[in-house]
Amino acid sequence: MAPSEDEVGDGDEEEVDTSELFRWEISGKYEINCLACHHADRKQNQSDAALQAAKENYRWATTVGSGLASVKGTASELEDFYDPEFDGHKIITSYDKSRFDSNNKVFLDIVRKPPSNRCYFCHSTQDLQTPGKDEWIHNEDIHMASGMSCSDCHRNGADHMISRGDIDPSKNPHGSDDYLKAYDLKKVGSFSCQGCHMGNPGADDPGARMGGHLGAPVPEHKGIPPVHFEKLSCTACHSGRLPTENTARVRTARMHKLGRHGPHGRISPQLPHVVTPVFARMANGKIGPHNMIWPSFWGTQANGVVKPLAPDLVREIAPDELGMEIAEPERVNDWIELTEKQIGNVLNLIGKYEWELEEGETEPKPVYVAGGRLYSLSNGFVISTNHDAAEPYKWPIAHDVRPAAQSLGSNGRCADCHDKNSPFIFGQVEVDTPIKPAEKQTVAMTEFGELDRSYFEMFAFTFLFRPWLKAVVIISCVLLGMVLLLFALKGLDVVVRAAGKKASDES
Amino acid sequence: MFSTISWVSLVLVLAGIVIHWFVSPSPRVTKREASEAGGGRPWSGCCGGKLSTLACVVALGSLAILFVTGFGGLLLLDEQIHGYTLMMHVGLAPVFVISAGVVVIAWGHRCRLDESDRIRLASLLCLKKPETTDTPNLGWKLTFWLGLALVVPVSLSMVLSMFPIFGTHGQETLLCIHQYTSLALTLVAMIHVHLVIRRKASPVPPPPPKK
Repeated sequence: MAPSEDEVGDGDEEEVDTSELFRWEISGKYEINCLACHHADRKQNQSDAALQAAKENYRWATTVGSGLASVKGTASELEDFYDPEFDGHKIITSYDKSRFDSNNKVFLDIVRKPPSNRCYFCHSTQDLQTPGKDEWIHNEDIHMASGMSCSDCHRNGADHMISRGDIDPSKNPHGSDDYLKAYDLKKVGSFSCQGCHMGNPGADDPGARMGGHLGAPVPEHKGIPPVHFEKLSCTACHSGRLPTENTARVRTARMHKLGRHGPHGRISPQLPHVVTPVFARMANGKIGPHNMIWPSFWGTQANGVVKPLAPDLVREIAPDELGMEIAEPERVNDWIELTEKQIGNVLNLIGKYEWELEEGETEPKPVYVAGGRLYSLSNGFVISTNHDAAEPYKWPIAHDVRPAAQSLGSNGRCADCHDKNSPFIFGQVEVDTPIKPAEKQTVAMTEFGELDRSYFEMFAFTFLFRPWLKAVVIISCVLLGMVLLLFALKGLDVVVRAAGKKASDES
Repeated sequence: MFSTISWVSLVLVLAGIVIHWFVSPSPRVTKREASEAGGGRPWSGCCGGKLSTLACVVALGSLAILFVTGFGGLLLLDEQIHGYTLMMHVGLAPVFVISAGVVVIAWGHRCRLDESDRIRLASLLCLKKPETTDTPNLGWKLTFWLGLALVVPVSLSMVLSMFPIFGTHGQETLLCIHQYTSLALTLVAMIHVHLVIRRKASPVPPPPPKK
């Protein structure tokens, strides 16, 4: 893929493959497609643009995506020295004449605020628990249902650093310095959950300090002790799928290439399995819902650092052990099952591979990562250990936001979380691995929230007695109050009598 | 803020108790005199007998533990009550409230203000010098009633927060009420215990004759 002029001019560190220079002349450059977001026309279709990109028709992708034209021909199939002057035009653009007026002018419905449907091409999630014909039972995000769009909260300036709605950007998932540079809590914080619904006390704008952007209601949180807001993010109770005993699976637009149709829409990858919701500790120390995947890869380990190997290289090193000759391998839970013996054999083969090492560089040790464990060879035997590289990769989620009535703890439902069977605390997180994939393997939710399970079990147990506690305290207080009132009235009686006596004495 | 107020008030009350202990003469009388006068320690020998004494001990003991669990973390570590400490605090609260209920029933009649207390109180309220200084019972009786009156907001503020009635602001207010009334209750209880100990053997005047 050819970098755009902006990227090249920016001194991007990515090296340019000179062998592809010829191809750029044919394919064109893969420019930033402004229309992908800002074209409000209903004919805008990023699926078509993606198909053109897959064909290396970069030059035509924007036009086709906008619905102005269709293109025949595939740049990737053309020779390196293809020249339309000599070879004839093999990629043909056919414009939709109906879109042009008598002066050959065309109207492009460019809007500043992108419609939400543009965002969904890259940012959408499919719940795999109710796929296909039952998808209609799902509600959309409560903000969308109330008529808002993504860009109402996820705003940006001319720099296009779109705010994520976070109020603690110290560990932004993009690792982008530009994002951090553009981040200004005074402004961005005003469009977070807290900023809209409760106000951003640090904002310069007096309106933003008050909150209520776009009519956002101030939450009442009746019966919820304030300590919850110190320990939990807003999303913990309000966002994502409602937790159940076991985590569910979702597919995401970018990982599973959702939203495509036509020829390339037939490929429907299920892996990697994304499990949700996982209530884990966030960068700011609060607990929030996350999507999560368990990494699974072959790699090497040197000086304690694990680096993944390219899948193609592993297939090349151990084609037989990995069953590459089988056209339609049997899949269990979407995985091609791996046995420990296979792992040992592949690790042996990777270990024999001749690496191009620099002077002083240590020989890397072959490893395999799956299901949260690091597999390696020790005296010819496969052993598994814990390692940071094997830790599941998780990212906080904020959507879909559920209505208040469907939020955890709503209307005094303490048992949503403080019950011995509450999935919020005592749920099980699926461990996804190609090793024995048919077996149900789980990890307790408390592991990710860094919670003391026995404490929360005991705490949940105390909630059985809470109604009694309330009754006892209220009855005792009523009794106390009545006795106090009795003696207060008696005292008042004495005072009145004394005052009356004094008055009669004086008269 | 609350932590500072707590420290200051605790130090002031403790200092006041110590100064009072050494400066003010103790109204001690012999046990025999006290018995003849129909008095004795307010914690013994009347109304429910052993049960009422037990209720007093339980109430003061549980209050002490509630104070340590509730204020310990806040005053020493500057952190809100949580974890097992919170569980112990909440678990002990009904014990305290029930024992306070028993105490008020068992001791209420005995601790009512009599004629001399009333005159002394009226003088104090009018900022007049009382005709007699021999009113050793007014202090502990007043702290008794004040303490029990404080039990009601202390308990209700927490119980009400367990119902879906109050929102975030209301919850914060209830917590605030709980904290400040608990502090006041603790201080009043300390003064009460001090005054009661000081009048260990002092006579308690008989109840006024019915008119």
